Amino acid sequence: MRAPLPVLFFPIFYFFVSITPIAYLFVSNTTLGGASFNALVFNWLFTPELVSILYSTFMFASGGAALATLFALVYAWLVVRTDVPAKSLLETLPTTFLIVPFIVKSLMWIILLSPSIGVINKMLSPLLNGFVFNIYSMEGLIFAYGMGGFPFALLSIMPVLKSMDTSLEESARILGLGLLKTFFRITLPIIFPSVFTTFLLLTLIGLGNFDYPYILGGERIKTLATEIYYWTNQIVPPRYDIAVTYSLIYIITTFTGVSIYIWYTRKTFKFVVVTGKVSQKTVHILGKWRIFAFVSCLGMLTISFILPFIFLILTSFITFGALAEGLRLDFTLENYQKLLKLPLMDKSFINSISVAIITALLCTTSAIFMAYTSLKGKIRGSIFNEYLNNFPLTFPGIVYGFGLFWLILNIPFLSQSLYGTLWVIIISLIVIRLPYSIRFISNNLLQIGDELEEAARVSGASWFKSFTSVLMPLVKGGMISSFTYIFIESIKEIGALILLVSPNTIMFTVYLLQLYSQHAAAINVVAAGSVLLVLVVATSLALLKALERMQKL
Amino acid sequence: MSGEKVSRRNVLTASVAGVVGLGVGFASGFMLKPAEQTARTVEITRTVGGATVTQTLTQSQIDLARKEQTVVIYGVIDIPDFENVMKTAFLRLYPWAKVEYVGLSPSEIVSKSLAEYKAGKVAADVIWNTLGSTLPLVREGVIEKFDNPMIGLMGYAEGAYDPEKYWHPMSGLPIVLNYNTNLVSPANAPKSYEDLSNPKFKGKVAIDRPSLNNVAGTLFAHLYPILGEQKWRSLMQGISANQPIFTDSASASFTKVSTGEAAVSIGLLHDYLGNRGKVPVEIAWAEPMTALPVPLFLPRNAPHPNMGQLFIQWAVSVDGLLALARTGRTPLHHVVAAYTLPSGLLPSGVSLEVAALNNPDYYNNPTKWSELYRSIFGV
Repeated sequence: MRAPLPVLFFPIFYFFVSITPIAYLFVSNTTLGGASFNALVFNWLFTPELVSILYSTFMFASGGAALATLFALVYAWLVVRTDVPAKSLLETLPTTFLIVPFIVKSLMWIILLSPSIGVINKMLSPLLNGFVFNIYSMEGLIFAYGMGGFPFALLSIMPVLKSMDTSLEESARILGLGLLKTFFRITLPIIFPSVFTTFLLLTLIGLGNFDYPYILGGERIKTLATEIYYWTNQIVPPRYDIAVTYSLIYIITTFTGVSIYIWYTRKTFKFVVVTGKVSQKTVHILGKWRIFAFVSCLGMLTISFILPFIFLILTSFITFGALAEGLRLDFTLENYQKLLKLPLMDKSFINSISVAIITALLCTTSAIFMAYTSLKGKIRGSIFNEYLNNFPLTFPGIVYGFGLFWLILNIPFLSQSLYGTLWVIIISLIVIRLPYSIRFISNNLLQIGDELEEAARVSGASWFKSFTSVLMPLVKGGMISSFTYIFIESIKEIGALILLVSPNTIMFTVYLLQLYSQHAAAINVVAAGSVLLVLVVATSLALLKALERMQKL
Repeated sequence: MSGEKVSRRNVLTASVAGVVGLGVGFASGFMLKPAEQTARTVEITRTVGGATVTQTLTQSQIDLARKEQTVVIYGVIDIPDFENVMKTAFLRLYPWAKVEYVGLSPSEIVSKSLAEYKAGKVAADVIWNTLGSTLPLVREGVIEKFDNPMIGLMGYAEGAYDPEKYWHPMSGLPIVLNYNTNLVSPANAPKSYEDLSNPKFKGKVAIDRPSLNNVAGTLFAHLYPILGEQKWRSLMQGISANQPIFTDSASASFTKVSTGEAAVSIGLLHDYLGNRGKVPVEIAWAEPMTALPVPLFLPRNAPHPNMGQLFIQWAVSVDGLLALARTGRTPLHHVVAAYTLPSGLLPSGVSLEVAALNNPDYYNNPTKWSELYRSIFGV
């Protein structure tokens, strides 16, 4: 069934809004009294500084991705393929960590692993001959991103292990192969394409990440994302021309990465993990190692999230002096009181919630039409769709944010109508998040046959009537999932917003970041804000989940 | 500034001697007398060090400001200090006003103001930022000239205000060396700026990026004419070779010293005063002693220009300067500074100089200095 013409407005509009700012970066004459743009690009392309920045960007992204994938692989195998106790708890607990923003995770690691105030460093350094683990180093960055990406990697690897045909493993065990050898010779080769895809995906996400390198990398570790911010916001006067140059290099880098990712995922479709053969799923019996496996899983969760979060909460209840003295537990509510008295606190909070709700609503609504056009509009399967689906990876948040900022700044009509409004932030978030929304709706829409809609049309319903009365109720589940995901991700986002916020449109995460980086001794107040942020996101998630359950009843 | 050379002046003669006597007359003669709303003029009379100063605002000026009601300020001062002290003091005099304060870093203030000006959507009515960081905005046409009558009434010393009327004196923040007492003993604390290049502090010195033309950048510019080209370069290269920890602001450097991530930092006195006794940090004075000028600016095309002017006039008056002093910051007015600086804090017989006023090139060519610092420190 063909979609009516007006429905095509959504994909066309999305294409226009998403591509225009990026295209404008390419075509605009970006100098503000400096050298010509081409000369700048050429100059910067061949500097040792760029090589170092590219190296840091790749090291951080691929190192963190490798660590997260490895951690998730071991964890998922223990939970899915063995008889480890408390499987259900171990399966669901890590996914809740996804709601925690990267800025909060970064702060957690500073509290634990800063060379000076890090609680773990303070405890272990005397035992390790004065050795301290420096979270502000490249190793520290990789570790932080590895732990932060672990729940995401788990979500990607666990379903593959669950759906894997276990008969080959069983045969190997029957033939006398040990547990580890079975894993390395049978299991790993079967699931390797998915594991590698997870690694590639996390590398691409890492390439676009702004939060970790900005907070933990400081001036010593520069990545493409932090350099764009540096040249636009941390130099006097701002050098937009250099920021544009870096943005273009960034896009070329991520576009290459996404192309490799698409090529690899297309290629790996040839691997068959799920067959039509029905077999009884068995798990490896660990025997006396069961408890050890459980403790290992719990240990991984503790290291990656539970311990840092506990210390974040503790930090929010002590004074800065007590933290500087090695986490002296002298509890106070002072930080929360200070936080609530901050002038932009209310505004930033209301802005974040409002923007998240509007973005989630608009994304979900647009996604319904776009998914419909894509799946039912007979234009599916093109390579263009795949790039569209991976748009957020191709154009990192900070690049799109900068493109939009630059476009608005240079076009008087846009600057008069959009600059300093929440709409510019909402547009940025929609463009960055819409592809994910489409995925949620598409998965749901795929399960609905055309005959239902056709029956409605034959019975005299208009296209709009059949769409709203037949299709939409059936994709309600996908809509709620889309709304939930976009709402949470919008509250967490920093990269796509940081160049677009103004005092009137300040967002809570950006406000926390400003407090952390500019004010003396503010880390405890930021910790209080972080706890509050996690609580709000967790409560929203719980409410939306309750809503989802209600609609299923 | 507009290209005019700035002459060197010691405007903050903050010697402890004589301050006590000055303070007695100052405190006893302080008087606020806002006229009734129906009057044609509003008189604010104060006695400063025995002399009476009367500020007269015409009712029409107040009415214009009152119609606008709101003033939006972009500033580098800590948010709680502004909200709890400055805003409260301003509202005591103008209770009908609505004050919105946005705390940003020096570079963020510049980039936001420039972007908003270019977009034709200026949001700030007052900019309160370090002089060195903000002067590029004057060149971009973002700052409006404003003939502030309070400058003359208050008798600001020459050099403490801009004859071109682009900036208005507010705070001159004394620059100090902070050190963490758990990591550095008083005997080993740095005693001069040259000590920052001492290898014993390698990787342990926190400074705000000099290319921001903020605290470290302005201090180093001050040292340039004193040391001469060769010695100055050698010192800069020595500090750079010591691999300092670069931060976005002196407050962030103070945090690093407080937590022990750095042993020493170039900082501002008020951060120390605000946390004295709460964190293991002490200060060391190194010569020459300087104060960072952090003046006020009136943005061009501000949405509430009359409110902006009203706030600036109030801020540079005794009332505003006293409020500023209560935040631990030092007013850029020689008499008020001398009266309000905590006694015994400054070494006796020395004077504070406004940082980099001895180096006109720094304020006339801030971008050149920013580039120079980038070439030396790499950031």
